[in-house]
Amino acid sequence: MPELESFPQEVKDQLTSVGSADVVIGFTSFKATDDLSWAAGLAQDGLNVLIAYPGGGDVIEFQPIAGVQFLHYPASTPERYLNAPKNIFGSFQEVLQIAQRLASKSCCVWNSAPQLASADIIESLIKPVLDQNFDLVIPGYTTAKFGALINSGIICPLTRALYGRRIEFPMAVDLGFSPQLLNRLIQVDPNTRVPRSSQWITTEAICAGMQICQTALLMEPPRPPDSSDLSSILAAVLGRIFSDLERNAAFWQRSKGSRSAPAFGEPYTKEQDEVAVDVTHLIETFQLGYRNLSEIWGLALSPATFLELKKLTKSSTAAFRMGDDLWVRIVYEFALAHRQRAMNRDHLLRSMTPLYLSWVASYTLQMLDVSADGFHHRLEQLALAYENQKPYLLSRWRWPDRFNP
Amino acid sequence: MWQQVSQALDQSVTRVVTRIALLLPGFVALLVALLVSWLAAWAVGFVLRRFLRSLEFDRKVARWGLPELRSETGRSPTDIAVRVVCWAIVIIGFLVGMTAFEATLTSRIVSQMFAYFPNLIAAIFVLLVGAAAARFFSRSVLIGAVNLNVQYAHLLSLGVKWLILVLTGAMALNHLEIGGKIVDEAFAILFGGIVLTLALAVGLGARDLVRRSLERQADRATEDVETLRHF
Repeated sequence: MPELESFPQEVKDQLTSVGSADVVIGFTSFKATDDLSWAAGLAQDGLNVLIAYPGGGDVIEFQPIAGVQFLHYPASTPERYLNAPKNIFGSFQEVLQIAQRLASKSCCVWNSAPQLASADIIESLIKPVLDQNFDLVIPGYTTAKFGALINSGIICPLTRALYGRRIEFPMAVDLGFSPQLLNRLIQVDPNTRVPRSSQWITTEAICAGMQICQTALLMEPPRPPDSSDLSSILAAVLGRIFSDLERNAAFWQRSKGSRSAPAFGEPYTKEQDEVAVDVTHLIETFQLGYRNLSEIWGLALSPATFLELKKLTKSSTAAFRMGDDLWVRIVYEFALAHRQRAMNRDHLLRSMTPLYLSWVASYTLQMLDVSADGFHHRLEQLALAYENQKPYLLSRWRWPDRFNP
Repeated sequence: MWQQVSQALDQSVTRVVTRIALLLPGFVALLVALLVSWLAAWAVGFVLRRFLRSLEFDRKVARWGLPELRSETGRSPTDIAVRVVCWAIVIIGFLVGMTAFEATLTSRIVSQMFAYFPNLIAAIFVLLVGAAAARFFSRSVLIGAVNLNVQYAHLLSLGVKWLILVLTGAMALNHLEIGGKIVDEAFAILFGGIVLTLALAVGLGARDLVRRSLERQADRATEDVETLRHF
């Protein structure tokens, strides 16, 4: 059993004095001004709650709440979360260790802004674990047709096609855990030699056969700390997904089709006002990329895909459309190039930005006059394209040297 | 008189033949040394190739971040390593053969060559690292500039590449002790000149262009935040 060696003695002493807790809620960032009075609502149900908050300095004096205890733990997690784009999904190791030490029946890690948390939201993340024996509760954030585009275009459909589970936000950062799952996540993965909690938690849970559900949250998906640097975020996200493909190859190669994860609550789609979106600069970036990055793309893409891109560069802005099959092939071929280390991986992943922007441009043009239903239908089509093209990825994954026109 | 001429000719022929006779064992020794070193190089190359293949050296080199080595040279990293080792053995054999000559001059040349050897190795190392760094950084700049929609991305990348190559060349020449101070001064003038030219170009000629470009970037970023959310 992993011990809390890195924790100061006073934290260990406090954990000993707490003894046990039904629910552990861990924040990965926290300010003294953040309000936690809503926690009283959780304790009303007779639950013994511990709230763990990070910080490098002074311990915050909270107003006492019956049934709720507070624990200050070392601040390594938020620092990593804020500073390194590589860890934009946070590391939950400390919170999970605390929950395990206290033998909690359910644990919730909150990575979004603390002021967004409320009793209802936290309850929706822990109740499925306490009442219905789910192991991982993933939030379904509010969707919008021009929101969370990396998730809509890559993460969600790719997870569905490869791992066979339909999860709206597979890389959500506010999660609920069962004791079984947190015990597993604390362990060090013998292949990567890092704790499983610092890997992609959703695929960890899927591959371990854990019970997963989704719960609707009326809040937008959180942005990474430095969301202006699209290239870094995209490289971090794709790097995480593609590395996972290698690690879980045995699982996803056997997985067929897809099924929905049970969902609680009514998912909410934000209606966006009709706005005139100018995609000219997105297309310009793609065309500039085609002129300058052909050598790099040529190492990853097959000649047929490259030819399609060449045709696309000649399209006018109004007629600019990237087919789903082409986009899916691009994603799969970059995954293959990442696996084969065709070139420096960071360069490879960053060079995908103009291609992603071209997909965004095409998708935006298609979605301009489409309602919320139409937008869900459009994403379903894309997800099916990912599923239909999976045999292509599988074949090239297994026989990389086979001729690919 | 004729007798004296004949005697002088005899003596000179004898001296030349004696010299050649003295050199002959050296030549034979050189040939033998070359032959032996070539055989040794072949044997070592054979063993080394098998050893590196058993270690999956090519895959490991790719994992260390040098996957372009094959596309740059057209040879696999194993081939390159084996060739370097084989040629080093042949060159060492050649130098051993050269020392078989008893002539003082050859011995001096050989000892000077040995003394120069570390400089040569250091220069080659600097060149290799410099070439790899130039490629890496020029590609980083190219990708970064394209992603920021900078129209002159290729020019920027070329500039970075040649800046690093020029710096590397100057360092290698310094290690080889070729050119002395001229290289340092030429490099300082060239490097300073490039920086000054760029500063003048941006400061005087392209000031408005740069400002407009930066403003356009900022406007686009703001528009994006309002309408499209990537995460």
